Amino acid sequence: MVNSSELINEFLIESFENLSNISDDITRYEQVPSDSDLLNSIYRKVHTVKGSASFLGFKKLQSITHAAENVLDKLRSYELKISPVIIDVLLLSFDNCLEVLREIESAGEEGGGVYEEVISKLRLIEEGKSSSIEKSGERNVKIQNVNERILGEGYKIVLDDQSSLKKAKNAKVTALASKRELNIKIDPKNVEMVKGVEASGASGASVKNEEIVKTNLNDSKHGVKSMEEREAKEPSDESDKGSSKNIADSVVRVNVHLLDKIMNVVGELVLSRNQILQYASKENSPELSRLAQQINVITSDLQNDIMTTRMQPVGTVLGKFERIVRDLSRTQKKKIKLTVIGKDTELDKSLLEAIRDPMTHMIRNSVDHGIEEPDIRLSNGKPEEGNITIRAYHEGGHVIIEITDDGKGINPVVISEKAVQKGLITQEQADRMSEAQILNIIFAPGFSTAEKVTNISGRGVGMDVVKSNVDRIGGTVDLSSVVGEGSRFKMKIPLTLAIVPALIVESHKEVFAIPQINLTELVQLDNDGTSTDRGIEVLHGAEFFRLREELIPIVRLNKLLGLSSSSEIAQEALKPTNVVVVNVDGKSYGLVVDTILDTEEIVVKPLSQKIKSLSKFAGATIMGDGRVALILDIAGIYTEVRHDVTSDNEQQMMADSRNFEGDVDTHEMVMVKLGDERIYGIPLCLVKRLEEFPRDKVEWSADQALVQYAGESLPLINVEKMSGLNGKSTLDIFDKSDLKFVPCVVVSIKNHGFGFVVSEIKDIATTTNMISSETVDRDGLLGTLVVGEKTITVLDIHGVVDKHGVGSKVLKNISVKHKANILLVEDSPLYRKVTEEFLTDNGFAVTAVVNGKEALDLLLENAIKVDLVISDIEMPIMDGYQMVHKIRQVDKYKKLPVVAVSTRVNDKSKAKGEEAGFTSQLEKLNREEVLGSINNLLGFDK
Amino acid sequence: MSKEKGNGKLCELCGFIVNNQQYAISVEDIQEIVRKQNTTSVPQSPAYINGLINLRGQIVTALSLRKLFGMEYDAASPHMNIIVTGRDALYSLVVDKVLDVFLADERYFESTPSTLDEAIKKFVKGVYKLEASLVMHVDINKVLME
Repeated sequence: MVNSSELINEFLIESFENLSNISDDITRYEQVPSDSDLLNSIYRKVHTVKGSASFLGFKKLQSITHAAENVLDKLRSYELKISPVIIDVLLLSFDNCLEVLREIESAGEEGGGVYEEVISKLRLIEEGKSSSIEKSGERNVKIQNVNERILGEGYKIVLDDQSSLKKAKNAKVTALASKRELNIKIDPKNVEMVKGVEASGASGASVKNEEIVKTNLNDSKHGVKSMEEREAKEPSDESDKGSSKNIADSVVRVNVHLLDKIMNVVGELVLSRNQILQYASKENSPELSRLAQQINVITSDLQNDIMTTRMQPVGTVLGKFERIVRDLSRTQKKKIKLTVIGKDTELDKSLLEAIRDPMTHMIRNSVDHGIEEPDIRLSNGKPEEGNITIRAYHEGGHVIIEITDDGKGINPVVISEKAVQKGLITQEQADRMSEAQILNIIFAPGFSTAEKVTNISGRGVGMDVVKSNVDRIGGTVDLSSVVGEGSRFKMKIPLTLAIVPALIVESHKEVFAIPQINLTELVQLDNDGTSTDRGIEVLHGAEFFRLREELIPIVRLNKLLGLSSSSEIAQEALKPTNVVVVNVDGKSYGLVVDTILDTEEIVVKPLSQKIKSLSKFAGATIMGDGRVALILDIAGIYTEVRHDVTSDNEQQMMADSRNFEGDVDTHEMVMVKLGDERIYGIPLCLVKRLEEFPRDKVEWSADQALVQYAGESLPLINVEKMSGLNGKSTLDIFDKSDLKFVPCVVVSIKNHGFGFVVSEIKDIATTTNMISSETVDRDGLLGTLVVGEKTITVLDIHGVVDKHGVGSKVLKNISVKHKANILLVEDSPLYRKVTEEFLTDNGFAVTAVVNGKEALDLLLENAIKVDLVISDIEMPIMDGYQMVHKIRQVDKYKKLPVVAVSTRVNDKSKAKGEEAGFTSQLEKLNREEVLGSINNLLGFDK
Repeated sequence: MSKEKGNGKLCELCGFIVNNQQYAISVEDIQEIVRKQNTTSVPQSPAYINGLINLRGQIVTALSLRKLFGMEYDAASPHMNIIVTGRDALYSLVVDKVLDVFLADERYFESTPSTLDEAIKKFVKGVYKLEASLVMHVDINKVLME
């Protein structure tokens, strides 16, 4: 048996806490079964208990938790539906776990409790046979033999050996631990034999020659020797602190929120003290100065003490890993040496607890997936013994914990394959991801590379716990790896939660705080053209500067926040510039500020709901002078500017896309450059893929260029020629140029692919502006669209394809017999065209009108036969809601299917649409769903 | 403010002035009233958000009723903060001047006249016809939900 008592104590404290929380969580989950986060958290807790139990060799605990975990897993994957029976059994199983824990606590081992019943119940549930579980009430189990049994609250009850074990067979003993009364039911026949119990029992216990004996154990500290019947026992009352001497109780646990509150109040006290000190230094009063000084000292002391109460050396957590690594490596027949460096590094208690689980998972990951088997290591020329090093140290106001192994490393190819296989990302996404991004997929929920589900790891719990836990405490976790040489996890954790070191900067007279965790360095650029540094360089309107050969994008804070006018910003360009280089997820950018003031420890305060939606601010803080300063959200700013660091136009586009509201149509355009060097747009909803075909893959059939693509020959279309545009197509010049690839937009029309050859694929833009078709002067163009400050021409893809000879044969094969008549109401020419073509392609006769009024008129005049109406919602003159409302007032149209399509469908809009009278509401861009729904409503199966 | 006589249900309201017009909110919604405070503006927030103020270490989001009601706002002119507890945080309603607390009789209550400016109407529960003046009862939830 395990004898490392310190380890067991740790385990007990952790498990008691985990399990007592679980009961609360489970009951909460029963009320809110939709809360998958809660379920995940329950699952992880059970997983942790199971993990720890298996390391320490507590078999019973392990098997109960394993069975419970299986059930939770099924719930998590929606294979099981939550029911009171399941909750009952789960709760029972956790009670049983607590019972085992108590036995471990008092006796150091699991004791003789039999838990087969609950395990088999859990198995039944897992197999989906929860109905076969009877609702067992109080049931008496006959005790076969007399063993050491332990009562819920730690009273050891032993039947004296002398009391003739065989004869005690029929004794029924009931212990009501919560009432601290021992009810012993004894078959009258056996009373005589059990009387020995009383004789050897401790004070206060008495067994009378009666059928039911009540024994008050209140004063009995030594334990009554008797038997206890587990089945009938009620769970002990947690709130009953009088007699229980749990190990967990020897530690005072203070609610983290209370500690945070105390921290906050102390923070405020410090600020007030600063103000008093300032005031006192101005006033010429020695008595005030003396008092202020006294307050100063006391406050500093208090702040220090509060801080230290929360600080603990990381060694308390790291110590337990030596054991885990040893046990794990033994079961896996690996040789591993664990080195722990920096045990004395101190960390806030709540943070320490928060990293306990992530650390366990990372260590297990290193042992499980990192270090190879000894013979493999030897054949790879490595020493037989693998090394895992945990290093904890301070760096720039943070604690860094690194876990390094010299194992096989993590192969990004394997990771991306797994991720694609598990459907976490698509192959296309995987192709586009960098190595570092791919490595980070292991932190995604539901990802696990373990070949089989073992007791130790697998199941996909693990690395997502790491990421979510570390994120929650405002830390970061990084994974780097070299295949064949090993991998390294690096956790960066703030020292405390409540107080964050930050850099205070000023921009346009406003003061902002930048959390130091994001801070890399401060750079001053002279920008006078004379010094050696090149200053800020401009690429397509975007600003960059070179930092040790690395190109760092520049974000001007005053511009980003709209504090300064553009003329002010233009003037700034020549002045020396202060750049704060910050880092988010491995990406750096430079934040230009007016002045760098100071570093300060700030107390982070949350923002109200009204401001929270601004992704640029992470919170607010109160400065020494009592003013409020905003804390910049470095990650939020990065996501905001990531797309628009390239040009002002696109910034405008971003603004456009931010401003659109639910019902407004958005146009997503693939922006391409053609032979005439102008920018054209291709509607994204038609685009299947963006490709670059190698030049030697392009084949010619007479004048038609083709390329083998997904098992078919894809005709490449010379857009310039088809649309009568100036400039030469890439197809025309590519023999002469040294082009290696032909950029191509593959569109899908009538289920056939066409490759539109372009000079360059620029970008994808989103705008809410309308397409104007008034300016079109030729076929092949749909209209113009304002994106940002630029006007682009939208290509009429359908027109070009129709005009194009190739493929016309296949297109004609489509049946001309119309299945039904559809009235399409859509104000956007683009969507009208696209939807019309799409529906026609699928065999419907389509009448298209541009607003609700026209549609209504058509219907009222009975001009055409209409089987179904598809309508946009937001339209000029009469919108979709008004239209459908009016349609429903006509008797014959009461049951006409009227489907609303809009770019964004949510519960709110659905409710509104339903109220107005729409039959259903669909997302405009999801054409498959639209088609499926139409077929369904009209009674076509497919 | 005079105590109205009547037999209807009474409720305690706190009156305040925005742009020479009287408004009121229920006393129960008010945590406290503070003088003009240093305000830190929040770039790119909705226009009616004046900024953040420090109320004894707590961050309060200040909403200008003048801006919300579509009236002119001058940061330099005197104003007061009515601190109210929102669902998630503390908010301050920035008003020109805070008046007394008065007992309003439900019998003198009338629902919002339909001719009222649309910009204000949506924040108003109704109107109390007091002897001296008309007082609009502001719906604090609507203001905070905006």
